[in-house]
Amino acid sequence: MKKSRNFLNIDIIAISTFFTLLFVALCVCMVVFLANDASTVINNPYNRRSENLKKKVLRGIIYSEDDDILAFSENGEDGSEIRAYPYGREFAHVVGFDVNGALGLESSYNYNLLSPGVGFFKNISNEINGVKSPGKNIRTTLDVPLQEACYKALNNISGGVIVMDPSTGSVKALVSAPDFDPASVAENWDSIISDDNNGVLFNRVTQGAILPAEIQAGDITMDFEIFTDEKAFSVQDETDGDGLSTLYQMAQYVCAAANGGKLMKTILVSEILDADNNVLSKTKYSEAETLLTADECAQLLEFMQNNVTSGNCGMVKSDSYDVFAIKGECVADDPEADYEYEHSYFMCIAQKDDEKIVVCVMIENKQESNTEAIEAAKEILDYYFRQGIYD
Amino acid sequence: MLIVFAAFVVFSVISLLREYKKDKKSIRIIQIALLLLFHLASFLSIFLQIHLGNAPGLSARSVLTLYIGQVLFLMLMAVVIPLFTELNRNLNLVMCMFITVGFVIQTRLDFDVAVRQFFILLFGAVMFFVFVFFCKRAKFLRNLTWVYFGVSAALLVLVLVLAQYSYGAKLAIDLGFISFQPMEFVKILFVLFVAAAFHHANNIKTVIITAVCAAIHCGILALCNDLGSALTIFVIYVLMVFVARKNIFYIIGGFVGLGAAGFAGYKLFPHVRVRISSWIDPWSDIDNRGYQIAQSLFAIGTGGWFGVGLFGGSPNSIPVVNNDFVFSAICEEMGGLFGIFLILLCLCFALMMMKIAIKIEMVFYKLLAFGLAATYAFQVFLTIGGVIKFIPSTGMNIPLISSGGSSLLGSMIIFGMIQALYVLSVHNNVKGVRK
Repeated sequence: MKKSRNFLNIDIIAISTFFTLLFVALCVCMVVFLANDASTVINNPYNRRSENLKKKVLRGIIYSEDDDILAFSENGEDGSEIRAYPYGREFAHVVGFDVNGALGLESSYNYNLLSPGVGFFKNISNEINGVKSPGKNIRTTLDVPLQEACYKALNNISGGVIVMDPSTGSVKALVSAPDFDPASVAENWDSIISDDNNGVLFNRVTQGAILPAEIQAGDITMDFEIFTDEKAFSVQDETDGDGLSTLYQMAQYVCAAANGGKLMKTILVSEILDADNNVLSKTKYSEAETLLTADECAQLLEFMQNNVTSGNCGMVKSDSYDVFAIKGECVADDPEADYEYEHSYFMCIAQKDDEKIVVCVMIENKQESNTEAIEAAKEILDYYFRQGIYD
Repeated sequence: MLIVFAAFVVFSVISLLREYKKDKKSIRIIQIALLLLFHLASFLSIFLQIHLGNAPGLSARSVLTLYIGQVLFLMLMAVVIPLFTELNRNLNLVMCMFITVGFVIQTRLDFDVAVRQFFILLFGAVMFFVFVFFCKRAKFLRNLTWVYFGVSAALLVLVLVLAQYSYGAKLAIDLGFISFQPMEFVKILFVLFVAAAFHHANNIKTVIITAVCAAIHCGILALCNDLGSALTIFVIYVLMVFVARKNIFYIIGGFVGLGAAGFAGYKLFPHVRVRISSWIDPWSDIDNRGYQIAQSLFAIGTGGWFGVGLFGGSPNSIPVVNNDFVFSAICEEMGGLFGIFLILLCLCFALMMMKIAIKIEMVFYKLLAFGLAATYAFQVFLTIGGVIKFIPSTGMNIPLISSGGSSLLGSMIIFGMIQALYVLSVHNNVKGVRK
């Protein structure tokens, strides 16, 4: 009697244990989601919850690497909120805007900027007093003088520039042209979107793959179809299959080559800060994948170095730093044009002592091969390393 | 709020681990206080939001009336009734906590729904006591095997013939003034049927007969496109057979069958393929197939660990938030930690019911208690797992917290039966009979 009873209950105990495990798995799933994935998920533009927050929170500040203010909000006289961009057009695409659908960091970090950057009780007391709480601030990896140098070097010629630090994966500058004035997007919206020949809102560095997906560099085939999950850049999915890539993808590949084959995860936002600029969370440097072996790296760098010393990239040669470069053109695919367009691109690694940067430039829609991309890169490199001397 | 709720959960777990006899009265008094405190704190925060103008369409006066009604109801269920009856008080308290959480979140989501829920629960409480007293006394219940099956199959056929499609499945019969979901009662009848069948003859023949009957149920449910319910019936059946026959091969066979059925379902029903694809990647088709799960994840993610506070979020952007996705709304506004504690409380509740099943010896009552407990646990798992993207969404709801009327009544009946079984087990009059 006693025995059979125990035997029966082992079954129930086993199933209870099984259910316990299932429920514990649910809890673990919740914890993982909240700790890891939630911050990416909630910044999805389809999350319309931020509309509520706009009434209660004064949008946070976007800082450069050196705490220059790239975007901030202030209360206007009539109580409405005004978003100001001190560097205007120079950071137009990378910082973006938060009206008419939002773009750039303003879009991808929308939720963080609109979350209260003050403590729980302070937030409640603000709400009771009818005062907006300041939002969280974000610190980017962007370097203002370098960005300005890139902006000048590109000179509003249709195209894009990206400068990255290959050892950390951080984006130091990102310029796309033609550009727009982020502060007056709402007023000028009709002219901005009707201007379809130029597509000023288009970020020519990260969107719209128009460059070749792979090129041959000596014995190495450079395959640019790299997809990292940097949420600030909506890199198109691999399903496109159109055999084309973006300048940003090219830059990532070159970064990997400059970093011994290891591709670091791209970083554009280094820190999330509270309203008093105390660090709330910091982006860690991490390796995304190994793209090249040490051998392949060496071969590729040798090929790139030869391009500079004795090839078509001689123009960037310098006495004060070493350069490894590739220059190329590709035919633009525009069947309606009556003459042939070309896009030209230039990618290089420049090195001085331990300092290494990757600069990639793309110039769109030129009727014939030109030297504008390489000239722009030269200007940026000279600026960067000259500045380094004075540092 | 979170702290109060967490404390309640901790005490519930403590009382789960204790033996019935050594029960501490003081803990229960603290728990009742915590329960009412949680309810009070939640409603104070609702009143604050009404005052701040964040709760359009809510009048403080009508909310106050509802609050007082709810307090009286909770006092009756949690304090007064246990004084005069022999119910398992821990189980009763946890049940009251679920009702309280349901009250709070439904009041926040939709006041009219909350009022309706309140009245349904009043009726549910009556059903609860009817079943407590009825099951305790009615010995003939164990002999009605084919009545259970007949009624339950008839209800399902009714659904198949009469119900309209909603969200791609036939679920509810519209009676004009009220919409009625027979599945909530079919579950109970099915558990009764299996328990009675094995009580009558615990042999391989019964296994075969009940298997055919279970297949009929699952088949009709599949025709209604209600695959979540079909899955529930299937799993409950397999688990009950395992407990009745004490043979692990039933579980193994069951899961092999489940795999085959799942594969066939995937091939046969576009509905299933949609659910699976929106589970694997809700983001690529966010406007359409992935909309619901994406909104749910936005809600939970936005709420973070501590929530945005009642009326701080926009849970109403999630389709069917009152019902299937109520857990997301709870997480958004009361916090992900609250959600985790709620999962633990549901687990604790399921284990309390399992503990009752363990104490019983008579096959019918043991299987009945076990079957109902497993139904509860599996349903909660499917629901919460679905909304946090742990498993594909199946369209079930959380008993007593979700707003569906049939579900509330069905749940009250289930818990009434469990309480009756507890009372029986305490009175020792189900021991050793007809093993």
